[in-house]
Amino acid sequence: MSVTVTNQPSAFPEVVADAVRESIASSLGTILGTAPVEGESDPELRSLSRVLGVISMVGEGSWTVAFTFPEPTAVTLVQQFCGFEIEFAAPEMGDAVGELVNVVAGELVAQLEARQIKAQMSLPMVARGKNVEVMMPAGLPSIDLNYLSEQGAFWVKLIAARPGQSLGRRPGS
Amino acid sequence: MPLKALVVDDSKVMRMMVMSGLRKTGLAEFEFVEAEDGVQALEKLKEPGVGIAFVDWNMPNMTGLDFVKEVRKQPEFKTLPLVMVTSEKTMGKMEQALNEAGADAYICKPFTPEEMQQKLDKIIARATAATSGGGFLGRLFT
Repeated sequence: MSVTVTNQPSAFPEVVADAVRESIASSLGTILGTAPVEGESDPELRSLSRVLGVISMVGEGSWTVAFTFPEPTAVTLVQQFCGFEIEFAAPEMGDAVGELVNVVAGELVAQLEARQIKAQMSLPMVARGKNVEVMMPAGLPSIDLNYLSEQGAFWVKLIAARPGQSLGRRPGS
Repeated sequence: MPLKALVVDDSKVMRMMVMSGLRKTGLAEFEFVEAEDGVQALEKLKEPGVGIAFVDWNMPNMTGLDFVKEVRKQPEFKTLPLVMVTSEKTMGKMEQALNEAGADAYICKPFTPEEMQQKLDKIIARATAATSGGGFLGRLFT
């Protein structure tokens, strides 16, 4: 199956968005015990310090998936994932979020394959700070997903890169 | 000589999670040796006493798959148990690691200690059958 990516804002491939949704529900559901559900965005959370986990898919198209975890969510979610506590300011927080995103991306590769879309994942990138966000060229198609979980709210931005473009670093490189 | 398990992952947190999981699997007392990528892991393998390795797939510099292939080229490590611990969960990747590269077991992240125990039981059974008593691995696990 070939997925055509255009620069039209409305053109983010729905089949990829569905695969992302299923990956989040499946992998985070396993890790957290209960799958997070899509919900309304909470503007207050947007003002908190946050950690970003970004991973790209490269194959028949190129997509970036950027998770944003506000501080309280990041701390409780990472504790559930790792089995031990990690402070928000600790260097290991980035490491843990990178791994968490990596696990979701592994499931996403499988979900895409089930939809006859071949893709490879990049190594994850992580950033932490207040108001930190992914900067991409203007006009790329994107979708915002807001999630609620027992560990707190978080949001995910899906961005389709132009053909041949990718944010990610390939493993082994 | 202390018994050693090599844990290879570019994420320190994941190395801690793997080691924590392994400690819950009924392993006897032994030491962990850590490496951040395949290149570093090849160096660490030269340390005496390494009897098993747990290897991530996606790492910078040298992937876990390339590490497994490199290890299998070396006659002294032909039978070293190599366990892939990875978020890559497609059948194609699994077959590549187990059939093409020569890994002994494949564990998908996120994993539970029970899953890890099941894979280790199979490796031990295989090693026991091959060496009548499990050799080095027989000493690793109680």
